[in-house]
Amino acid sequence: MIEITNLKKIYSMGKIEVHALRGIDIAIRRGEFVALMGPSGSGKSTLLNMIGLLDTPTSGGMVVDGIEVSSLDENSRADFRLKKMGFVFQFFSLLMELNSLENVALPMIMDKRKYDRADSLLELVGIGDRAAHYPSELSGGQQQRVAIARALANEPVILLADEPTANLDTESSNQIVELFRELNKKGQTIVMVTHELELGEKADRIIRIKDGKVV
Amino acid sequence: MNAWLFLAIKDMSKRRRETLMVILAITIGVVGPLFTTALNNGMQDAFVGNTVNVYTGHLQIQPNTGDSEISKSESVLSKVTGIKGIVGAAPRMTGGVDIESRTEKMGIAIFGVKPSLEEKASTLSKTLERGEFLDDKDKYELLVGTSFAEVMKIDVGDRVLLTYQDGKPVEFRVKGIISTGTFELDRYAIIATFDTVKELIEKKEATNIVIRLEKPEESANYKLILQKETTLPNVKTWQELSAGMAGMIETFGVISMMTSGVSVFVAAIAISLIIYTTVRNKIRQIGVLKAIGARGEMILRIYLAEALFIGIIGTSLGTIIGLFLVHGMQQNPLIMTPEYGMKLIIMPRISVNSIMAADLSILLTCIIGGIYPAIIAARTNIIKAIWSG
Repeated sequence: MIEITNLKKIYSMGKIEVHALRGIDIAIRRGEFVALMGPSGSGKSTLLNMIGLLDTPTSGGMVVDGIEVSSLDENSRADFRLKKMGFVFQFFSLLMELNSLENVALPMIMDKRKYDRADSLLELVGIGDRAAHYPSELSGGQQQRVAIARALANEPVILLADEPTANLDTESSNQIVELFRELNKKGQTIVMVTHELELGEKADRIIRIKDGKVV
Repeated sequence: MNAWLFLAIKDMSKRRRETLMVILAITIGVVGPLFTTALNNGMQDAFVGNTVNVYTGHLQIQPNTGDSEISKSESVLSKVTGIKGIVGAAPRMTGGVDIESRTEKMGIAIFGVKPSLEEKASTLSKTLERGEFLDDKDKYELLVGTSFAEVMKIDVGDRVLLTYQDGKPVEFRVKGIISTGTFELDRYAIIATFDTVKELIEKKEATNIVIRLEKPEESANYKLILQKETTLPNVKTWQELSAGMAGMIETFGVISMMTSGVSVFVAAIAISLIIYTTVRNKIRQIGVLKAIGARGEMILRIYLAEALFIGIIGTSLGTIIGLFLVHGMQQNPLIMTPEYGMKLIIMPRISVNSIMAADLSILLTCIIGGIYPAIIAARTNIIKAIWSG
């Protein structure tokens, strides 16, 4: 599903070069639930951004769902994200002017698909009764559930989550991770960045990153 | 519905107050140029139009350089009258006399006209304010402008004495008071019949012939025709005769257009600022949108669509309000009295072309105003955007 070979990312900050990733080699199988863990600044979020095609590597190869993605142009990357990726961010990343249903339907509208699945996705994440509510009318946990439903909208091959429970209380965090487990049981490949061991242990496998390398 | 259109509509409806404020700014930006253009046209019609209609004519044949009269003016007149496209032609005779009423005495220009020919050659006969217009057979009867009547403290039926140079004073009766809306005839001249003036100032021929055309815009062509037919070189078009006044009004028009330009510029800044502020405030959302698969061009379209939508609504509203104001003022025209008793009726007028030019320039300004912030939004770096705010 995901094959990464000798992936490097160097950020230039003036004359200083920061080596965020120093040659990562990992493989993630279809249907796997993987947690990327490591201390702050270890490069785990950078790696997730590379896998999600949000950022471009300095060098190295990356094959996602059989496609060499590191050489795709900007529009192809956007299309790839729309059709094959689902994102859940640490912060509540909903569009404030759209209600829950519209937020979930948005990727389908962007992909010119019918969006009648949006209702059932909200049901799936357990907030079917909040379809007409705007983000400002939802709790943090509910917003994150809407974000997960949105991430699933276009039936992504990979669900990427960057610290999805960082801004949630313990109960909401457990519910979100439990939701990830249920989705994974149904075959959804999930890559989740977390620094909480308790959450990471709920994944099938933990990949530990330190100083830009897999340890 | 396209995603960009869906998001543009949602975004604007969420920011209803700001959107309405910008629409209002653009509306004012449209009303300004429309109304000032209409008013300027109205002033041009009033000043130039009145002068051309009663005083200069669409074309005027003047004496050869160095002469004070048109030789064989009767023959010239008959040649002119036969030309197709000429509605009417009338000879006039001009001179200077002293006028004395019971209380006032001063020098004044006198015009001799042939009333029956003036009917077709000018609108002089329609400018009668009170009393009666002249008749071809009238002798020692006068038409006096409203303003001059005030100065001389005379009215219909009063008698005045006219003296030409060292001649004997001749008594005239004021037959009518006219209001032409021109300084020349309302304040600085009196009018009598052609033959009376001929006798009074001892001239033989007309001093000019005023001509009215079916199509005033073809005056330059008719000038050439008349020069050829009459062999008289001094044929002047109404544009040449009213160049000074037209130039002044044109200058006023340019100044008012420049003022309007400022309001258009303000509208563009307003639209640019609101979209720029939106982009800055929504930078994280733009990052999220790109992260979930929005292409840069889609983001560009969202904010350009907003600028265009705001522009179209503002322009339409501005056009409707502008036309409403113009229509309202047409019903209740502005009446100016630059001289005692002189009346200038300012009736605003605007052409479809002017409306389209104003609307298109404002719309274009809105699009230009929206482009910069829209490009910023489209080029937003996803990672930086997501982690901002």
